[in-house]
Amino acid sequence: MSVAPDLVACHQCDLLHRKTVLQPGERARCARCEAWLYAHKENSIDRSLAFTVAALVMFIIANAFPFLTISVSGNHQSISVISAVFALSAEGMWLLAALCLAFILAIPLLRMSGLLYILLPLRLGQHWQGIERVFRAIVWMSPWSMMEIYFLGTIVSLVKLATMASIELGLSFWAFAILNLLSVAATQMIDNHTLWDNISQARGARE
Amino acid sequence: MKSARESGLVSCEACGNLSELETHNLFAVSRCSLCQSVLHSRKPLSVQRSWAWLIAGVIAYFPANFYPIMHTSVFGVSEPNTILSGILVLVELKSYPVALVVFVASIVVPLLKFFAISWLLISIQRGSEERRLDRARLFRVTEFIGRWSMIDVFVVAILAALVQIGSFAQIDPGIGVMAFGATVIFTMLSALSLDPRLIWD
Repeated sequence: MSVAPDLVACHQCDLLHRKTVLQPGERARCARCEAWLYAHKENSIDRSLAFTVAALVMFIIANAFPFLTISVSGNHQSISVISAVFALSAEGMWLLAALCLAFILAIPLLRMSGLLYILLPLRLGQHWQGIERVFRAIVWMSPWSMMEIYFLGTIVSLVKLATMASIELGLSFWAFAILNLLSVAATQMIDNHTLWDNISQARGARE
Repeated sequence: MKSARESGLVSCEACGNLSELETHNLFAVSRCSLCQSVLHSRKPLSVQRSWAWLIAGVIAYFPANFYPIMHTSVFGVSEPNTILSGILVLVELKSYPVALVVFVASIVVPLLKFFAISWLLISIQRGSEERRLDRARLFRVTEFIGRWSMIDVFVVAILAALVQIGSFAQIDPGIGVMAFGATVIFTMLSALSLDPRLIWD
């Protein structure tokens, strides 16, 4: 497929390098601009798939239970993860509310589902339609997946309210925390070069 | 040491696969044979687009700081909060680490992005060959930290959702948070439009 299978160009400075075989756990770095080029991650597909499935389960739990509950002199107010979006739209900030909905829920969910769509057939040794399109969508979406930033924002909010009210952390809070760890782990396990070597092999086996 | 472009190759921005650079027809769209992304040897109109988003981000930064990002009302007495006053509240609460996080995310990072991207763009336009490695590193830092400025937008949204306790206390988002969100999104788009390979050309 590639016109130069033994070469790799740095994605940040375009310098060509000759590919070398890496030991498990090793990463190759650009000789000129020091960007990471490719890596040999052990069991990359299996591990990433496992973390992705676990993250999707956590995503459901994180959205099904109370996130935070605030209590001030006998009054209680409970919110879920998505409530923050409604608080913005209630004030007429529709555009910002829609973007936040995308950043903290829709894009992370689509991104994880997309990973599942790419990784599952590789694990099963199959080839599913449209993998290229899904991969491109994931690359495009990645900077806009902001669950971990939302989580840090939650912690800042808790500190701000700590002296004013008592706040109870709901089941969703912990599920959301674990979801973030799993999502980062799933992404960390993937190396694009390894991924596409696997996809090419699966294609070749079919043809 | 040669770049892919000098060797007549183009690497796919999505999957890293190398294809032959088609120079005979500049306007024809060629796609990666592996993942079918549209191939660009360099991002099209990178410098112009990056400047445009950056300027939009700078413009939105003024209302973001002047207008309140939220209104806090306790027992019916409403008080506007700006980005800066929100940080001062955290300092008064003696939550110094959290105050530092918000200060860095909301004030240092946007300003750093304005200066960093401006320097990168000006040096690219001048064809400068100085301190290329430093500039490449600066680009990576800018690209990595930009998204974290969204913290303040999320803080306002969470506080507004949570603090709706009848007549005791209520927090509502202010118009400044929209401007601040715009600053973060515009500067992210600016960094995404900027092609770091131009630093080395």
